Amino acid sequence: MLPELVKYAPYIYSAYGIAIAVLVGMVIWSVLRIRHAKKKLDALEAAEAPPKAGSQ
Amino acid sequence: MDALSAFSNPHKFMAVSKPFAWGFTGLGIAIVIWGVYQGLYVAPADYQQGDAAKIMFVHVPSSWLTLFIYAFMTGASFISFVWRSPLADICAKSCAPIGAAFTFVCLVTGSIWGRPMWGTWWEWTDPRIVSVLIMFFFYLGYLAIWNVMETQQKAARAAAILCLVGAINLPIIHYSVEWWNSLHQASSFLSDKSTTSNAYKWPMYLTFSLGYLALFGGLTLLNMRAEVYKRRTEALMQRKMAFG
Repeated sequence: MLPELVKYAPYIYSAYGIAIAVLVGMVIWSVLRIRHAKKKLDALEAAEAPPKAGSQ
Repeated sequence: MDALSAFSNPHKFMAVSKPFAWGFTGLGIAIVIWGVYQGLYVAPADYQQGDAAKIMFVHVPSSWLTLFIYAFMTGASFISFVWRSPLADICAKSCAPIGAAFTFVCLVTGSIWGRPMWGTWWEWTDPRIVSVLIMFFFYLGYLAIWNVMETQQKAARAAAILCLVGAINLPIIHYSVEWWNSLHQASSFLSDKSTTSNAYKWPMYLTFSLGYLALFGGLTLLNMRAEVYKRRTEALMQRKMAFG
């Protein structure tokens, strides 16, 4: 279903393909980065949390 | 004033930035998808450049973002350097990978367009191309500083100085096509010289610019939030090591 770009098709598809790949890569990297950072902080905070009252 | 306060205090920033981060990212993705569809399927071929003009739709806005993000980073670095605002250095640091990515897109799409239009992938004597490549190296250098310095404070100051020095390149990039003989066409912004005559040109430039800008905003906020989480984690670990 790609459009018919007669003369410069390889150039156009390469340019759009690389631009999209870089943008998608940036989005995935940012989402993974924030998830990883949040998970790590949550785990540390859970380990640091004071024991519940009466648990001794 | 409240918004300014929220974006200068990490705690307030974390409280208000989440919907903006995800909202702008989603909006940016949607606009870019729309732009790609319009660029590939709807926009007609240019009478001079043929379909190769479609490459300009992704290239020109990425070049604007390259300069805009670096100028934005320079502002944040200046605030970080003068007032030692932690959120300003987090902001500048979070912008850098996104700016580097847009610069890469700008260089690669420009090179791909140059092959059929100029008959060459790259021209070392062209001041615009070389000055944008230098800007790419400034982005990489900025990122490298954050990875090699021992402490965050030292890294923030060194990175801010590098960013401020690199800002000299901004007017050089912009005026390079006027100051020197250049293969590259004149500036597209606020002028209509030497660019495609395609009627879709400005709507497409605007579409991709808005998409890229929304993505930049969303991803910068996401990365800033990740950096705040990372610094909180490091602070907690240091406290744990100090007090057992």
